[in-house]
Amino acid sequence: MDTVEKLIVTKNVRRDYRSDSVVVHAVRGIDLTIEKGEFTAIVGPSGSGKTTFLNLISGLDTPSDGAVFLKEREISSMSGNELSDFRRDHIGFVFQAYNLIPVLTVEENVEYVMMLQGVDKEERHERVSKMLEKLDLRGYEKRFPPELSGGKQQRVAVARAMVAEPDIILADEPTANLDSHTGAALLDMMRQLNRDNNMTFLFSTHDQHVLEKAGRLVVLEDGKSVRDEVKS
Amino acid sequence: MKHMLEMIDYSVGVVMMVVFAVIVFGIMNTLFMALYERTFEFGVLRAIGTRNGALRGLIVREAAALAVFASAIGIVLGALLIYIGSIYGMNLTGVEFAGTTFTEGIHTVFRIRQFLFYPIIIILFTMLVSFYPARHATRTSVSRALQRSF
Repeated sequence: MDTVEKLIVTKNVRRDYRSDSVVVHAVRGIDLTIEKGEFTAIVGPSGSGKTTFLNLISGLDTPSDGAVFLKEREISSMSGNELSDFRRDHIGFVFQAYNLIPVLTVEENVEYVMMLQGVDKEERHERVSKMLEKLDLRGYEKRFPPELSGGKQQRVAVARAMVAEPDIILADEPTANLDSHTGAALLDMMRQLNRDNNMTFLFSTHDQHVLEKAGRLVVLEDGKSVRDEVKS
Repeated sequence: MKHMLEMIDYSVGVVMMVVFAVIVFGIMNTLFMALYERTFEFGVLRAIGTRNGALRGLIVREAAALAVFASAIGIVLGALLIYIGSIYGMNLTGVEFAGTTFTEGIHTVFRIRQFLFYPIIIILFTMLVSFYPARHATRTSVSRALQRSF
């Protein structure tokens, strides 16, 4: 009996952009299922539709056709507030450029999503403290993001994504702005979190380190999935 | 003289309306510029689960805080100028205005209305006009706001 939870299911999802008379087919009918605990990389050259596809999966963009199901709920049926709440409770984001709030300290950045969730102050501080410990960020609680190196900022971004205990973490080229050593260390840490906590990760990338560590590779070309390979 | 003072009050009222109109457009322009620069930041906040209503509230409260801060500075500077004017005044002896000749200097006087009514109006106006840029910030699609990265 199949007991693995299907977190994301896309059915023939398409996204077209219209600019004057030109129609750009960014995503051309992708079927994909992501199960809980996967460590999957979406790979492909620039313009292959990786970022657009991640936007569609996370409900940041709406498909022109087809359907996206997150935890068996079709996201196009959700209102704006439902989508915001859904992202808050089920999806963690790690962006290429870290995207921390510069006027908030490290611990404030990490606890922000829990504030939105209405978690009480004591529990927030406890969870932030544990997460910063886990990501080796102890001592940086009161620092502001611009005072940190790129690698540390990205670790804070991972902490922010994970602390609210989402079902899946979506990461768009998370190592693109990091040197190879820092990027590899960050990936090892994410892989460890994936193994220890059964946290699901979905990356878009063309970083060789990510490809080596991924448990599954989905290759996109011209907005289509051309290969789906599960590594042993 | 009474008619002349009434006329002055009337013209001051007209000038104040024009000043308020300029202030309103100035505030709206400033807020739009400030929000435009932070489109990406707002995109991040919305992506990680901030509801549009909460973001609008955040922007309006920020605008109100700026208005309170700016009004406080204005009140202090205005009070200082009025205080100086009340001591030294302006010597207009012999100057004729609207058929009346001044026989002594004029001195500024404190009016509570200027220190209470106008700042409150400015703060309320600021909050009111900030609704429009706040609404605009939440109507931009999140994916577009995040185009720099995600």
